[in-house]
Amino acid sequence: MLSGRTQIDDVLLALAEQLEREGVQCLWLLVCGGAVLNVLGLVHRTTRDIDIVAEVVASREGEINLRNLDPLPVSLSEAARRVGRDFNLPERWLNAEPTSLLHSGLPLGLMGRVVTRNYRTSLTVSFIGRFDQIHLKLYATADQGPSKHLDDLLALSPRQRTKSKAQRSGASPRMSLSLSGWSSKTVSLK
Amino acid sequence: MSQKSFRERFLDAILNFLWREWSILGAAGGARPTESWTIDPEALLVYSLLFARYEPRLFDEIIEWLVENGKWIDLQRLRGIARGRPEPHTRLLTSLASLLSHTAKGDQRKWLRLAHARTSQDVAPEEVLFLTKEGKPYAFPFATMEEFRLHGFLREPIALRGSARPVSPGTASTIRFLLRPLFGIGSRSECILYLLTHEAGHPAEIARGVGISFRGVQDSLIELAQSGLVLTRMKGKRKIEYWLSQGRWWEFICGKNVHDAEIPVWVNWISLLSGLANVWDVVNSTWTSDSEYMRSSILRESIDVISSEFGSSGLAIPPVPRADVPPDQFESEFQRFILGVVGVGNETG
Repeated sequence: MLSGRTQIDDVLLALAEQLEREGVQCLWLLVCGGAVLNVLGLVHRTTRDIDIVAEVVASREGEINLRNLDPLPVSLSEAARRVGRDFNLPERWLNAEPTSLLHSGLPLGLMGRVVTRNYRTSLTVSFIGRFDQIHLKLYATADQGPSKHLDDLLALSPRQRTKSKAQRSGASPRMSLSLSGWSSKTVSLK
Repeated sequence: MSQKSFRERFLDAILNFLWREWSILGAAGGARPTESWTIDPEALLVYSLLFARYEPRLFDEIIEWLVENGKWIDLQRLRGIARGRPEPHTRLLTSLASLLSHTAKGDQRKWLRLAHARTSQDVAPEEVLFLTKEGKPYAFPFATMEEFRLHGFLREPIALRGSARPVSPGTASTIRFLLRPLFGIGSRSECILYLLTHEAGHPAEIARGVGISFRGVQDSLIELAQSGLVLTRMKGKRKIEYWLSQGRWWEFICGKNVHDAEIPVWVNWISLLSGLANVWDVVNSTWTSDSEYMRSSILRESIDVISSEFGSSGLAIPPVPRADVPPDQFESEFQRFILGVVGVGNETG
């Protein structure tokens, strides 16, 4: 299990080193879920896994695209396997199960609200921010009923205005992916 | 313990061990120590060459020994043990064989065949044969030996002194050198040695234990059984296992009854030495890495194979580091395990 921001950072740093060993020079991931809530300090609970929404690909012109990463590419899968073995994590501790969100839609302007961290030079991870986590948790709660998603949603303490925005965005799921207006908060680790 | 310190201690332990084993066989001309286990000369030779690159005097004493006693080496078995090992194992053997093909007492032709085992397409870049314990090559020699240069190694010429003695076959450790003159070099003497040191064995397990093909072992066992002195019995519903009367055989071999005879302990040296060589390879690949995590990850990758090889050797080994040891503790656990295998006290930290 992954518990706490420090361990998640340790695991992602290890993943970065393993990616370098696989010859991967630069991989940028968009992640959501319990691990994000821990890293951002929004909740404090253990989580089994890190959920990848997509690979983030930036063009030379600054256009951001999100790419489906399911199934995980061999290099990432192998790097994740080794990290999972080294840290005694569950087999699918790194997975792309939420990739269906790319089809059902992400909140508009999401990439402008992510918190991005660099793990060495080979791995960049954008963590979906609180505002968008509320959107996604509300969607998951509506979809699955009472579950850990409801607990997370309550822990996020959404104000009424945020909840209403989240409810409305369920009807218009398409997101804008242009770079303009995107100012992510970036943190570098090694 | 730092990776550098661990590497030094491991290498020193291995070299001390190798010196001792070769001394038992008659190398170096000093007093012969004794051991209770059988020595496997082919496995010892294959893996000694790897480590003796860090100890030139040992390397040359091994050459001296081979000049005197090389006629007892089972070349087919030697090649089988070396097969599948990464270079430079084969090149080290063929270099030696080139030298022995005109210096060995006894059958020089067999060494000539081994010397030509590598095809002409196998062109290796030249490298200095001997290395410091830190892994740096010695200075380029002014004069080189052609027998080694042909196979990619540069070393100064050796002046053979005749310092090795003939192997003394009368001890537990050197029993192979009693059985080979009696039964011939090859699978027969290996099978008999296995049966002398085990209650019984079926062909597959004997083949694995002695490092000879299943077919070769099976054929030899069938022929030995026809003498009536090697016996068969059923194990379970379908397996035939072979055995012999250890009392009668030990009386014949050493003139003592089985309770008084110094029956050697069987060790699967092929497995054990392969495990030690794999440890050396993985330590060499990690000791200059600055990343504690990556060192621990690579060591962890190797532990299953290494511990399996040690487990197959027959020696009692310390507990293997568990899978749930965190990355920041794995390196020290690995060191503790390995130093426990080679019988060296470990300091923590």
